[in-house]
Amino acid sequence: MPVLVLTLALPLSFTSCKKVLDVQPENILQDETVFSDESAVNIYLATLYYDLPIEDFTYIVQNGFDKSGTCFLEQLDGEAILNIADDKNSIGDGTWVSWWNYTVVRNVNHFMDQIEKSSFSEQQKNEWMGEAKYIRAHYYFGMVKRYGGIPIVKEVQNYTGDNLEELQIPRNTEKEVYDFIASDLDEAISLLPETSIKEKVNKYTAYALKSRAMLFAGSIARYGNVNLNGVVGIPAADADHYFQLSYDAAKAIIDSHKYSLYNKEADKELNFTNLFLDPDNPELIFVKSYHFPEKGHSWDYRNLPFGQRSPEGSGGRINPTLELVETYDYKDGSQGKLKLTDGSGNPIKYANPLDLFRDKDPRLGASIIVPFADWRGTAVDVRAGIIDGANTVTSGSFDDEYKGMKVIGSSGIGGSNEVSQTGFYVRKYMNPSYDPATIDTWTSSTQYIEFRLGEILLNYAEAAFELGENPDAAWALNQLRSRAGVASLSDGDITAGKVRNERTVEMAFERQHYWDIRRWRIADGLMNNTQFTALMPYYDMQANAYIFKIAKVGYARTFLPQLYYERIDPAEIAKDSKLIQNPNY
Amino acid sequence: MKIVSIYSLLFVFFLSACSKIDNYSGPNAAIKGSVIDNLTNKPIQTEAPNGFFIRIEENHSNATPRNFSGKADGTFQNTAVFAGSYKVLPINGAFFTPDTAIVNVSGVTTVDFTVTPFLRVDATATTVSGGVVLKYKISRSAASGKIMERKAVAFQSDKVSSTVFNAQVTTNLSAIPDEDILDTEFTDTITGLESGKTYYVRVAAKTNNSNNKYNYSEIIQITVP
Repeated sequence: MPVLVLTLALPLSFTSCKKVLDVQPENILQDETVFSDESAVNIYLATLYYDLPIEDFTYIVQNGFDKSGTCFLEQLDGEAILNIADDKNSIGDGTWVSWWNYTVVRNVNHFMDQIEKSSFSEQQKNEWMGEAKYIRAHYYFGMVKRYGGIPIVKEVQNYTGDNLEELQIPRNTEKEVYDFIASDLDEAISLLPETSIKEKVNKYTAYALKSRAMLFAGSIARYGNVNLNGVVGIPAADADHYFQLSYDAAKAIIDSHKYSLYNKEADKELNFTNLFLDPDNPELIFVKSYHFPEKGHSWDYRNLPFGQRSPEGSGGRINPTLELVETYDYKDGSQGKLKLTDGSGNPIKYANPLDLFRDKDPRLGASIIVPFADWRGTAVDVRAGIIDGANTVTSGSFDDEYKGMKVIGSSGIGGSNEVSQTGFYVRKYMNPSYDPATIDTWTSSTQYIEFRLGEILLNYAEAAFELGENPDAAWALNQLRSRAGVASLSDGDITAGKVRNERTVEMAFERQHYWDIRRWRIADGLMNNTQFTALMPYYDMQANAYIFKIAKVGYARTFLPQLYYERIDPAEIAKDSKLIQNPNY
Repeated sequence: MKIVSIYSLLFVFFLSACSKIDNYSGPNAAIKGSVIDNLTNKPIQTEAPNGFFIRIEENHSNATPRNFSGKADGTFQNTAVFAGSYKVLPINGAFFTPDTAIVNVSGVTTVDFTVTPFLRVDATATTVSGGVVLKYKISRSAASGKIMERKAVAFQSDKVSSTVFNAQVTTNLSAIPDEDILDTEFTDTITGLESGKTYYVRVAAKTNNSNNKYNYSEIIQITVP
């Protein structure tokens, strides 16, 4: 019977509950507690930083941020293809890189609101406010580059039970969003200190984001179309204005002389390799640090060459394309096409297969493991087969031997399910000091660089070129080319193609190229029923030398024009009927 | 035992109070029609699924618009619509957007739209060994953006389009004045087709339009000698 009494008591207790629910829970810190304690504020701030849309090692296409998976942005933009039979038959439907996140916007707006009201010193408040303005600008940039114009929400919205209508906000124009980002960053620049640890933002981090974001706005104005009354697209007349903002922001960083290009090693290839591995590096402006075991990533696990992969499996997931390899010039500045055949079209025989890449831009070897290049003291043997007189021997297994030689090598083309598609592997960010036996998912501690001076010089060069200031563009590109060990360009050499090539090779696998081909509006031309190319090394037994053939591999990719903007999730439109969908969805 | 039975009783009580079967009928009306070229009076030639969309929106101020894709032959059909009054409009195609139609949908309702395409392409095909020669003219009755590109494509099914092809010949026209383009009879030869196979060929042409859409010639079926 006691149960029955209780049941009866329940409805009664509901009616008298109101006061009880007004009592603050004891296991959740309240705003007054958090925003009166410096260390608590810093913890709140750490969450805001953690939510920055930085497309680092753990940004996985279709899965999102801080995820595990094998589809990286490089596999959507022609830099590389996925090795496992390249099993995706599309490069997206407008949802693959979506990030519509007003939760984080609310978090940072709430932070600003509370800091304003708090009783910390003005100096302390200003510094936090500067960080918050930077963070909000970065959030908005993460969304505007995906969706075009989005609703600008600057205040914390509160639902009172009957104000739904006023909380539903229509999309601002794309131009208004970029202007909002610029104004938040200008405030951040005036509030933030000159220096900081690399994982936190300072004045120059805000300049860096401004130079990147305004370059996007300028390119969209110059190369895109205005649609939906400006909700997507920026009027062409504004292009110069945004390129000038990008140029000025980059110049502020360059002229400050706070950062310098990494130049510790005399060997150019080693120098460019270590740029991404050495934490003591004057080029770094803003990084995301990792530290195993508390927080690691899986870059090494995913990308080790097959022959030397971890006992846990995986490996070789990102296969760079021959197209990317040939984008790297030769050291003397000549165009980077590999010399596969002689004048009469016969394959050239290379006694040392590495000679095919002799005199290439040292950044190639530092960014990509080419066939028979060194990894931890061993040559990465990538063969497509063996030629014995009239016979060409190939194999579907890494274990098959022919006359005492592994047919496809231990990392070659054609083996099992996990095949190397293109003959190339990634070296950038791969850490050779890790023993493969210890590598697994989430075990790598290599930092991810969000901003470095190298990108700032490229932003500066591109903005200068777009503004017609070719000497400035040549100066900036030559800073990078001389550091890399490649012949300089003269003012007369500067073209859109040169500026873009330099950006592509300097920043391969740094998660910019995908967005670059979107903002340049060249992606639909670049990928129109297009297959990318593999380099196929064959060992010729009689000649005791290698010849190289090429083959088209992977599925044929098409970038449909609507992919220049992501689809807005219909669930968001159902919540806010004032949102309009992007074109062609 | 007693406790359990009391709870079970309560449970049954709550369930019966909650259960209300959704016995509304599903969408049982349909809307279909064509997007028709105002000069030829034939449906426009386009591609699917990205040729054009039909925007359909309930005819009241608070409605959420929904889009569905049109077909490559210029027709469209949606067989899962609730009967009622709708605003209907073809959008995002390679044509000047016409006026919105207000349509009372019940049963199968047909609605046609007459539009002016950005460009028209008339092509003829002659097969040659391992290929096909396409002769064509580009014309228009109203000027929109600059004519940017012409493209002859061949594919082994009638899904042939600017992005679906086995072989193609693309020519950039952005530097050539529109008057000259409209005055020229073009000839493109598509090579590398397999002898004895059937192919579907057509010509696409594109103006500088905000949706990057192509206008097309009719599809011609050929067998390569």
